[in-house]
Amino acid sequence: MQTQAQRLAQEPVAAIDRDAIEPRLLEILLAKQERRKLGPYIPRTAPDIAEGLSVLFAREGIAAQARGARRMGGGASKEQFVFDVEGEIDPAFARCVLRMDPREGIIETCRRREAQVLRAVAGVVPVPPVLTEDGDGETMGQPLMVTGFVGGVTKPSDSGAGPSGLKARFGESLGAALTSQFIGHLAAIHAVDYRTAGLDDFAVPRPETTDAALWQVNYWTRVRALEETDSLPLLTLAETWLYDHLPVCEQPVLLHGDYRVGNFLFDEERQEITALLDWELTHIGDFHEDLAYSFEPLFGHRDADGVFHVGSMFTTEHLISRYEALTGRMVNPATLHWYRVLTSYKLIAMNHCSSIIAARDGTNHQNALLAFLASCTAGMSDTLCELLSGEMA
Amino acid sequence: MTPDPIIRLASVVQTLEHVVVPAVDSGNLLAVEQCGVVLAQLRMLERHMPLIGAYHALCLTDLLGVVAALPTVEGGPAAVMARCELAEACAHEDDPRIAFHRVGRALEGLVRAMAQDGEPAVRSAIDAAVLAFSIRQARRARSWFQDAGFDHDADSLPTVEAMVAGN
Repeated sequence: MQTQAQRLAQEPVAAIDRDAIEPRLLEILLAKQERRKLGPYIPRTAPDIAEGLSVLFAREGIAAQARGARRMGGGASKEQFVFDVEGEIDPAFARCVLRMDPREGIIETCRRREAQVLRAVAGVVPVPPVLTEDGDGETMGQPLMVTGFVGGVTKPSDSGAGPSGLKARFGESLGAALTSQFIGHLAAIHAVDYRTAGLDDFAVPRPETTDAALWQVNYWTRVRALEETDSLPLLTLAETWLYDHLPVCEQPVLLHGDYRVGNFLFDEERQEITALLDWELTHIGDFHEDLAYSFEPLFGHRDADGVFHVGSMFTTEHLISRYEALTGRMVNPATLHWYRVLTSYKLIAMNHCSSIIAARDGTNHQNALLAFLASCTAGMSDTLCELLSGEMA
Repeated sequence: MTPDPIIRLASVVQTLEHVVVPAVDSGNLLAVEQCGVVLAQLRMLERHMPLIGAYHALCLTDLLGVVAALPTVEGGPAAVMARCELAEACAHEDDPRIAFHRVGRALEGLVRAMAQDGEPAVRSAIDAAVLAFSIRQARRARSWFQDAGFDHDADSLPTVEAMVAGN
């Protein structure tokens, strides 16, 4: 229940529209709140999936049969199964991956949007081809997407790593080879003309305004309002700072939204990125946002001299200089800083709010993992404190 | 309470580790991965259990000290009301964890209200106090969860036992 002070504090201030959120994202976020009432989620079995795929293929007019469905390891947000396809089908879909939402997860995202963006960037950067999607979960009860299977690994075979490919270490030769591809692909994504890319479920922030930044703060603040169980004054401090310092985005670009180690596949022998994955947080916004994401300490490590390396591969200075050279854009340090604060804000919102509430209610296929991952909030809070230090008088 | 919860938990961990987990189908990737997470979480709980009360008391004491030292609120109706609600939140005595989050939420209400109609200098002082508290709280939480293995500078942290003892 809101207190009187909270109600007063939420009254509109100046021209900031705190309700401005991409319509599709708000729609699915609110739908999730209703879905939670269905109770705990029981992970799907391989036979469940085989039966569901049969219904899906029939509905979509795909003259083929799915065989040998089995669960894939890794991943922290979606249930994923791999299966073989027999019948009249493009060879790119001889083996496929089903990516399906659990009832709740660390983030609530849209399979329809993800399929749209994968189709938009196909041929621009390496991505899995989309066979079909069911954005509303009509065939299997949960939204899903089916893509062709792409070979590769998310971490070197001789490197340990945590969940979701975090903390993977790359050797010098492999790291150097992947660095140029990683940054080059980011520049290519940002160059996609989103206006002609068939991104029907995406809203476009107005250029030369604070829309891009405002929509992000509004969205993650709404997530907190709906799903925060425990207090964290630091987050509210960040929230007020973010609203006070909204940067103008001169020209929005297509963003990946979760561009980091663990979210791409590569061929170890050829030292080549074979697919960029996890496009669920993709949106149209400020290019600084994708760059700022790489600065998060969780997505890299410090060397013996204390220098931070993104994904153990390259320094943030290298990222910026190479990105500027490739795109002709100039990074604005103040805007980059704002998006680093936003990155911390949203990552903490995921872990401190959505993960905990899903683990509490048992609505994910990996409830134990979500409760474990939520402990990341401690380190992320430290990062956010560092970012805000110097900003507070 | 006999048997002690710590003994009960330790027995569960040992049985899981040596009897249940080895019997899990290695082809069931979800089950294998979740076993690892479950064991890691239970081991962390084993270490935390004797310290939980002291940890929450430590956090609450710090938070109440921060609130007590806040400057007198000046500003509009939202700010004044939020300060009253914060004082009210601090007046209850109950479980330290519940109290910590009740006071914390009220403090968040004050931060928002000061951003809306608080006197700027007072707002700055309150924000600075909240940030200083957050730095201490983040360090405590990092120490508390260091066994999870995610910390970016775990070597710099005190052990959980030392942190709770105030070192």
